[in-house]
Amino acid sequence: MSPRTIAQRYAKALFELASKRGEIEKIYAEIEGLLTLYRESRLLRNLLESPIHRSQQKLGWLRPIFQERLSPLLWTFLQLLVRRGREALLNETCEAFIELYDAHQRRIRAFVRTAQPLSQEVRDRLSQRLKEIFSADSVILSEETESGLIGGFIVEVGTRAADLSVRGRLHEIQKKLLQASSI
Amino acid sequence: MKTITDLRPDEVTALLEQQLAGELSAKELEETGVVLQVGDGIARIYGLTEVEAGEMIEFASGTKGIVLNLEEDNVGAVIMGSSSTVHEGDRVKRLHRTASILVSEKMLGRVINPLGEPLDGKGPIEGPFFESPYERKAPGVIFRRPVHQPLQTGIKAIDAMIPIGRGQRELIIGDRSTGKTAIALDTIINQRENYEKGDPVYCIYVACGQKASTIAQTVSVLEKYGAMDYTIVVAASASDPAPLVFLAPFAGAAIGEYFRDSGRHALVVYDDLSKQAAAYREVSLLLRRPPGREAYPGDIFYLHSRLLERAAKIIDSDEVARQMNNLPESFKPIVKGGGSLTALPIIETQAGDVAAYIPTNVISITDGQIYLEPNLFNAGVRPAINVGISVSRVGGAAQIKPMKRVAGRLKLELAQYRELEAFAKFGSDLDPATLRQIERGRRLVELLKQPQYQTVKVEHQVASIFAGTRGLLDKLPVEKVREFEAQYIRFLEAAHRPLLDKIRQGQLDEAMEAELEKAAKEVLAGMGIKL
Repeated sequence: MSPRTIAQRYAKALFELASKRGEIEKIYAEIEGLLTLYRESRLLRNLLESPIHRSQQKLGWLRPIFQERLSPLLWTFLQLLVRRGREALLNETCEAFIELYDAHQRRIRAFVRTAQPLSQEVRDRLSQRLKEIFSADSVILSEETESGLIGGFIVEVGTRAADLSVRGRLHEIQKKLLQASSI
Repeated sequence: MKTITDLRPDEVTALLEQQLAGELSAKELEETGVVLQVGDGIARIYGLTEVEAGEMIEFASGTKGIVLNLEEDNVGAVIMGSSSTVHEGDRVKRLHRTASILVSEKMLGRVINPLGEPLDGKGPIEGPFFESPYERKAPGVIFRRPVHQPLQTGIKAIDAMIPIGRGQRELIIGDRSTGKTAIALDTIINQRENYEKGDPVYCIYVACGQKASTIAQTVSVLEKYGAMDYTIVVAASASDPAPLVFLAPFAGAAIGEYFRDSGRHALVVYDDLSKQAAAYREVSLLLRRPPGREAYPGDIFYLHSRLLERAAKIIDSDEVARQMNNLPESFKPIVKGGGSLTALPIIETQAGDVAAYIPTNVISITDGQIYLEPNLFNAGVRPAINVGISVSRVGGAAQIKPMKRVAGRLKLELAQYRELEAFAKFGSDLDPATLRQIERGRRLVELLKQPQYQTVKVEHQVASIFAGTRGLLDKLPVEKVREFEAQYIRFLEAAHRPLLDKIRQGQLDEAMEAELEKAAKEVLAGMGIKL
């Protein structure tokens, strides 16, 4: 099984348990915090991914940091991961949990690249449009400016993407012209 | 009033962006993937969750690919072209069409790669183009009819004893350098006659994993004999990536189908399928498909059977042909019945081992095989066809009547000769009947020898074989047989042209046989032989 699939299984178990106990919001917030920590603390990452140390040792190090700060459910879950030797998949598991949470909240994450920073009006219209297309309740928009696009924007939602930039259009035109010359 | 001078550049941009946001639709949001891993002509892609197997995809650089594997969390695709232009993290787009080649009538006389791009530096190929998929289901039973027209190879031994019909699949098998390609090339060259008569058999020569120098040589031979006028060469040389090599025969079949479905005749030579199998094995192993016997993937048989099934003789009725299964959209206006696609696959064996995996597979798929032997080749019997184990399972129906009449004897006499030949090696004490049989056999073998690129018209073949099987050459020294044949044909052409025309049209009766015999005797008398 691929690491992704494994992470998805664990995340699903956690998600279902959390929703049964009505703790989804709390767990989600904690997961986000955990993910930030994991991404930013190289020591934590190295420690979790280290194949040299045994799980008991790892738990010994984690306990003082997390036992108090995490809700009991998530702490138990973390212990389970470590005991099963899946602690290296913490990152993927957290991501899978967030995906599940997004789906639950009917929320999508979109990534927009524009030539110039978006105005509030365009941002709103784009969000509105994306909500309609994906029948979602809310959109989390992350933005990036890239002057090479000349104008317009590129939007990506998961594996779907639309290139409505001037650069993209120019490429299309170039391709068509090249094709026409070969016919 | 609004004027153009009121607008500032950043406002224009903002206005445009607003419009584009309005334009954004579900259709614009294409499904994309991201290249996870790339190497050895294979890319693994994350995303593209709705892509279909066999679909074309496009990488960010414009390089195309074909999806071959759909896995749980990634998609395996082969890269059509250089993999150095594809990078990890590149976006991949779906093209929403099954992999296909654009076929054009203007491809005749050209050398192209399996993607349909010209390789001969004679400029771009012109349209109109017809889109023909690489992978297409073969015509069903009701759209076919049994083979009934001959495909003349111009090689005496083949046309007489292992006849090939239009729509047949005849395997050419043998060790390296036993003249496999020579037979295929002679067959292509022999189609010149049909081309000149205005009823061409279009030829497609697929060079699969050969040396580029060999391909260049083949093309120059075809050019020299005027065969390129009706021939397309599809070339994937040994230096091309494996996906292109394994795709080349499918490109050839796709082009051939264009001619077949438009009611014309086509011949496609796959030279050779052993190299294609090796290329497919390479791709499959890189895609991590489980290896089977000799590390070939489990579907290696299907690879060849689905390719060769596409050779077919189509029913004459245009109406029925129009309803053919899996007809590509672009073919629909041009479909006609009565077309055919003949396939001549070539397989190279190792040290004569026909029982190896790929040879047995292809032997069982095809309608017969022409087996070439190095021993015969070295003994000067060229083409080095082993008549004993070569067969044509359906071509007999396609032979013209005079040929059937003279060739029946030929097969029998040669079979008897081969049986007695072993005794002859001990020399002495053979009864006269046996001796006579052996002597006749020697002359027939001599008669079937034929130099490369010198194809023989069917009426000449009938006349020569008739002289041999009638025993007219028994008194002639073996080394004079070919001299006699040349003189005899020249004499018939000069003095008996109407007779030859009749034979060509499929007539041969006793009076005509008597005329042939008389002519042969005259020529023999001229050579100082009296019967």
